[in-house]
Amino acid sequence: MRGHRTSEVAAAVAAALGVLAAAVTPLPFARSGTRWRSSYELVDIAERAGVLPDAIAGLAPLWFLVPALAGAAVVAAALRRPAIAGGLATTLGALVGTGSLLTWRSSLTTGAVVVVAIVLGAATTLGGAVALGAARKEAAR
Amino acid sequence: MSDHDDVWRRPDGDVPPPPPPPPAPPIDPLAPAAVEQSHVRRGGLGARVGAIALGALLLVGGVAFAATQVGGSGGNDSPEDAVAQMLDALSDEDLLGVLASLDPGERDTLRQPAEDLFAELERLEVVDDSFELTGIDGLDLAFSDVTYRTEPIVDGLARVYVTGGRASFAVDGRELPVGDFLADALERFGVDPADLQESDAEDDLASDDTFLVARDTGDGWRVSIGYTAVEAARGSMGAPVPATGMQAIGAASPEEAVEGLLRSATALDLRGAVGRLSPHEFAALHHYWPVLVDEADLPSADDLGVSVELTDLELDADTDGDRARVFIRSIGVDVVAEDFAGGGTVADGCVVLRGDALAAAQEELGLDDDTICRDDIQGLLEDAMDEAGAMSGMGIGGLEDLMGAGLDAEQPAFGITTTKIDGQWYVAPIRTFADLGIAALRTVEREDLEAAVDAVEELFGGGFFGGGMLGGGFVPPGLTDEFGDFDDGGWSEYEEFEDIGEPIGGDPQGVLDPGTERILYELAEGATGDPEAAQCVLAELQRTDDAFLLFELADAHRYEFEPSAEAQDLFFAALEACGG
Repeated sequence: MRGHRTSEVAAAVAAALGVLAAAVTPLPFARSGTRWRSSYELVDIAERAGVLPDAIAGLAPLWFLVPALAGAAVVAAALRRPAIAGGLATTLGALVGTGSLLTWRSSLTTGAVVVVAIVLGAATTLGGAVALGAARKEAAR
Repeated sequence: MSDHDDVWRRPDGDVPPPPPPPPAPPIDPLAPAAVEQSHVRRGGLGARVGAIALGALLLVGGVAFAATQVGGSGGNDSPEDAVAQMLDALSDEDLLGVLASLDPGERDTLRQPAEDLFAELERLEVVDDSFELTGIDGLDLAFSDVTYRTEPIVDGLARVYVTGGRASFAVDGRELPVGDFLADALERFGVDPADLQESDAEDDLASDDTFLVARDTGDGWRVSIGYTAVEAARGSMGAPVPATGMQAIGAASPEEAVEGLLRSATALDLRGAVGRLSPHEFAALHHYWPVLVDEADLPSADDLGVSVELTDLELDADTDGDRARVFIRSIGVDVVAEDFAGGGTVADGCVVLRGDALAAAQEELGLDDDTICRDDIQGLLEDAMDEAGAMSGMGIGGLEDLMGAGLDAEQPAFGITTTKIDGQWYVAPIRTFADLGIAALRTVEREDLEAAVDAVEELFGGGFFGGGMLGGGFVPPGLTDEFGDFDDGGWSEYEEFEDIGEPIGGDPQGVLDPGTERILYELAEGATGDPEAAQCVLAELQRTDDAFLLFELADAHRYEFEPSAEAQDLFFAALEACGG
């Protein structure tokens, strides 16, 4: 049996972290008044309320790609494509981490889920970057 | 090479071929190691297949989810949904929800000024740092079981009536985000916000004549404050909905938008002026203009016999994206009427007067030349303040401080806010006033507010009737200590209002209301120190034919002012009759 390469292990870990990061996004992220909303509801209501800065408003729809990115990262990792899985996980982690960080810094009252999402986003980005780096080294050998 | 290598070397130097490997033992499929290896392989494959299946599910589901969400963030599906969303959001104190339910143009007009206003109030410690636009502690508003009825107006516009439901509100002063400044100021006037405990409920919200108008904004229905207002006006006029409205008049630049508005105004061209206002703020007015305003009835300059000409106009703009503030560097107006011909130009902080305007100013203000500058105006105001100061002996002390506070303050730059919509610039009057108000507020410091409160306190505490309104005043015998000045931490009172009650003092033609009776009893008890004697005094007082005097006495006691001599005589007579 062929042994697992470092890049494959890192990609699998990054994809798993990505799934966890995606899994917290439907949970209550922040509240306005007494109304708690998930990250997807927040993006939607913030767009409709016109409160997003122009620079962010254009990128906000990318948030809805979080589940798809997580799925793509898992498929790539399972198919032993660590470079692709690493790239997808890095993108996913950066997206979740940055979005959660912006929510956390906004004037909304945020829940603990946001902090978890920030941590998972950062960990996914790191895992993805390690997988990418390892895959490049292995390809060079 | 080691010695052992030599041992195995043949004399001719050849190395013997390695011995053939031992034959592999036959594989026993039932051996434990083989079974384990097979499980690992099958397990690894199974895990991979499972991961692929999970990932594919996430991928496909995620793509489908994204496809339904991206680009789908519009308004509501129906007019009722729009109003329901707004009421739900209000119930939840959910500002984001309220903003999302509003017409986008109106929403953008209100949002930034509201944010700026409350940021300034927080800086000035009028509200404390727990204040959030996304929810106000101590304030609770709730709507429940609300039902609606929709009445179409025209395509894309509908009235939404509330046909039933319940509303309630509650205020808890202990939790209100009152800032330090406001708390201090209220304390000086004997008011404790914590005493504010109000709640009320309306069990039936049904109304045949109250409605909100929802508008189809192209991507869903939203509530429009502007359309609600003009539709209410149209309904009261009994006018039909206009088929077409006024065409908004955009300009190529912010300066041209403002100049167009000013020239329309000076030409008494109301339609031209309104047409240049931002459709984001006045879309409803533009639409309903033909039925709200009968242009045939509007007077023209000829009708009025007046000619107004705009002169010396110089503008410049500070543009930031789709918004710009236009500053008037110079503007002049010349007016020619039947018995007047004159005008003036404002530039560089001075006013240059012409014609009859100059003659009038020279006569009234004693001007030496045709120019009045800011320093001259300040001198005139200071003279006026000196006169106001001389009035302090009449009980209007503090007025000069109040006016002086305004004079010394930094002057905000006055700009007219314009907005770009679909490539055209329009004047935005609501944003203009909001921006000016915020700019003025930014020049204020907490010390300025405290000085203003000092001035108000001095103004009203300085000596109306010799005793002041906030302290002193009518002091019945025996109540000297209780009726001390507020500054001394003396008597004060508050009342909880369960419902909106009778006007202060009640109805003089009717029976004395229980509230007034209670206050008079407190007054009598304070004066006599004896509940029985107080009842006697109250009974004596109620024998009077002039109920107004009783209300005056009650109000004087409650609000600490000195009642008329007639009312005082009535009270003392009642005291005397009861042996006081």
